[in-house]
Amino acid sequence: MSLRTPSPEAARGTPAAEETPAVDIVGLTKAFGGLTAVSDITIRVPHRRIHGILGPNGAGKTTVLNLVTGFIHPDDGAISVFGDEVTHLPPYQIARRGVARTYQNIRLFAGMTVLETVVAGAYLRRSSTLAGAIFLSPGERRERREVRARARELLDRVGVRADHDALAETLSYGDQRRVEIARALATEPRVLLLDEPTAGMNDAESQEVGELLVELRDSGLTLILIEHNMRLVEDFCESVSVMNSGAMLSQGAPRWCLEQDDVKEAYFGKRSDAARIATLRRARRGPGGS
Amino acid sequence: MSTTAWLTTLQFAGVNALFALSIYVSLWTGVLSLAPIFFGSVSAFTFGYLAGAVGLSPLLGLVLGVVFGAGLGAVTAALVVRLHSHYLAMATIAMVLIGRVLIVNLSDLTGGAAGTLVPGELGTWAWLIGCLVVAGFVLARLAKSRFGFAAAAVREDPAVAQTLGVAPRRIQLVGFVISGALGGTAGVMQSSFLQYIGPDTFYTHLGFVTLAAVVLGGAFHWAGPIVGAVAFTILPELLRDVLGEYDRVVTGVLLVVIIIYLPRGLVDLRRLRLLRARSRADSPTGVSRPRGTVAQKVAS
Amino acid sequence: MQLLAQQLVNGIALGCVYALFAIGFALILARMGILNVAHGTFATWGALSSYWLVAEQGVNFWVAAAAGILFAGALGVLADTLAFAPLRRRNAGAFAPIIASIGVWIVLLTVAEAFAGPTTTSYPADAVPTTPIRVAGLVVLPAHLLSIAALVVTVTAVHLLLNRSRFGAAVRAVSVDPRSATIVGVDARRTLVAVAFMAAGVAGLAGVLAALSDNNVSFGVGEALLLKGFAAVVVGGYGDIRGAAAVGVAIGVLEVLSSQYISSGFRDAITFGVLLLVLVVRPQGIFGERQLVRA
Repeated sequence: MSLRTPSPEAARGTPAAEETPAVDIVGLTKAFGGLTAVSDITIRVPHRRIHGILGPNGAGKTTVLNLVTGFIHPDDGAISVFGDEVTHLPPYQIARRGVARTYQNIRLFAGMTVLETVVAGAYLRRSSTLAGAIFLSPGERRERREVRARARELLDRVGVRADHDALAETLSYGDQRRVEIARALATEPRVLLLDEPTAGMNDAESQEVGELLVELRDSGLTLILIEHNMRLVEDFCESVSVMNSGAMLSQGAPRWCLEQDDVKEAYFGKRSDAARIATLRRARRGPGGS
Repeated sequence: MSTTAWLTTLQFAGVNALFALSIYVSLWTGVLSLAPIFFGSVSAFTFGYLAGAVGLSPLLGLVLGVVFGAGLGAVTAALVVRLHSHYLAMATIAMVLIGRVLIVNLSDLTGGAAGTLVPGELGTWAWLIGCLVVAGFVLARLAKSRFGFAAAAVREDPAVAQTLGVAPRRIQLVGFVISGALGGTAGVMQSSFLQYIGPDTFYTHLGFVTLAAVVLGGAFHWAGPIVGAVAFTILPELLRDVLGEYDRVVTGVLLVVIIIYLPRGLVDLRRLRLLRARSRADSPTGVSRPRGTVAQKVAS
Repeated sequence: MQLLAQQLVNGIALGCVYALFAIGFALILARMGILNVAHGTFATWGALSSYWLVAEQGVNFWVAAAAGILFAGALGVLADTLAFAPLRRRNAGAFAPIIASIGVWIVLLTVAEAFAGPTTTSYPADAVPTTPIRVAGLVVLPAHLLSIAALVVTVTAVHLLLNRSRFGAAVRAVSVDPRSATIVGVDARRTLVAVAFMAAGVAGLAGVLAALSDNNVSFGVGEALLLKGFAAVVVGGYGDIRGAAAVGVAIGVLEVLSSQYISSGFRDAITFGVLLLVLVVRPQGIFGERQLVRA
């Protein structure tokens, strides 16, 4: 039991331009009352790509993730996942099309243990019925065993070191974020959206998350992450979109994007401060990320 | 109290436990519902009517309660499950209030304000314990099932549950059906013990007592409602000598006190797990202590 | 025609009582986020306390009615202080306030039942205005006129207070975010106490008028209003009290007409039928508000 492993030729061979993008966001606009949170955003993320969404606080990054997962619906624009339009579908339908996510403000289920949390995430991958559960049929037993084994596997994979029978909410922030990733992975997604996955982690832990991202990418996932840790972005993201005040500032390779004047201005204020960017960037690498 | 009185009280505690379990199943899926009282009422009056008209064997009566209740649960869910949680709760309370209006006015079927007599063959310890064992067994088996985890996920955070592919309203519909089956059973059992049902048999007071039972016992484990029902049925009996007609005040006050100071009830696995984690963290040789800090975020 | 016009007057008067009750219910729901099922008992206590003053203490009806309103308001404040405020401080879940309000309901109902006994009674006939007024062939009871006047005055006053005054701004601020409201200098606790008092006081007024119109004082006064208040709020929405009030009046008219022309026994069932229909067709209410999925 492992994540879906596509054939090696499918993985690297085809040029990105020809295949359907994993996530295709076109002209997305969303206003709350009078405030435009997201305005005419277009992001195209090809298969097996680690894509970062950057921008200062309040730029509309989380709103984009909320739109993609269907928590809110856009006023204008369209979202497709692997060619299927999902713009106005409810969140659970979008999840069934292979989109999973984590949350900036960790949202674990109160009262569940680490293992149970991940097992709860495997809902879509199970086929047990009420009757099966009540009579504990052989199929049900087998499924429960498999789901638990797989949950342990996923927890090891994302690097949760805490006791699997501890309450998830009592773990360290880093481990809570990892449990959330494991819960999302339990749905066996094709696209994983991560909202500040390294917030609250130190340098070494962030590095581990970065390596996990690459590993997941190599096993076939497409990853979109909101991230403030610039080193993580530069080291692991293959492309980024930079947003400010709901609008797109620039898109492309991370290093190139971060050198753009308007990006610098959005992040660090006046252009004359640009000289201090290098220093600031180093400062941002410290624990906490944001 | 005499032994007979005690035994009678315990029997009603058992029936209340069935109602409480019925409320518990809906709460499990994140729905506060007093509809079980209505399910019980309709099943009991149907049982009473059919038993009078054509005669029903006890087993058939029980089956009728289960099936009728489950069907009502499905219909109710289809109507109300789309409502915002506050409105949903109020709609189920409205069902209980309206049920009484229907009973009073459909006097040809229900006996109206005078009520109706019901055969008492089911009103024995054997049937009651049988029902409770089956109910407890089913709910215990469902606790760690695919449905159980999905229900808990919907209760704790419906938005997150959706991103795991769970359709909350579907889970809540299933919850309503199970709740209906339990409520219908409880109604048939209640009427069999009383051997008489009227407009006030399945009304707000029963709803209050059984909801209080769930809140006290805890809505996070199937044993909670049973513990709570026993406590909340016996307590007023003990207090009746002291407080007279004010015994229900205690139920009300306790409800408020519990929801403030013990919001997850007596039977709470989470608290046990927290205590276990704490004791493990305190012991310096704790084997699997999580890295970094323990219990950084412990919600109230 | 004459009958229809008479029934319309009766219906509007009855509806005004429902509307008054619904205003307070909506206010608590909109501004405190509490579905307060104990709201009916405030109405009951408004009626019972004023009855006690009139019938047993010989107090003038108008004074007694005012005292009943104040007493109901005080009960509202008491309930908020003892049951709801601790939950607010603890950030309890969505169901906790409903469960707490059921607790308050049980307490106030039980005491009312013990206080009033199982029988129903009415205000002494010589103490309350009873002489019917005849207008264009229609008979209008003083209780009816009072209900209509009370609703008009209350809706106008509450609406202006909430939308045109500093107090209203404070209420809105507290209902959105108590902490920020405190930072900008609003006394959150005092504001909430004032809202609780106002809502329960208006319920007490509805209770007095319901008892007067029905010639019926009993512990069940408020129970009968609870369902109508809920229906009015569901259909009319709770964001703007005028919506709930308008629907409350409409329910009264519907009830009187349906019991005249269809069946008197089922008038509650007809209200509920309409309510169910609205819930099924438009679960977000007619003037819909709020978003269902928390993002």
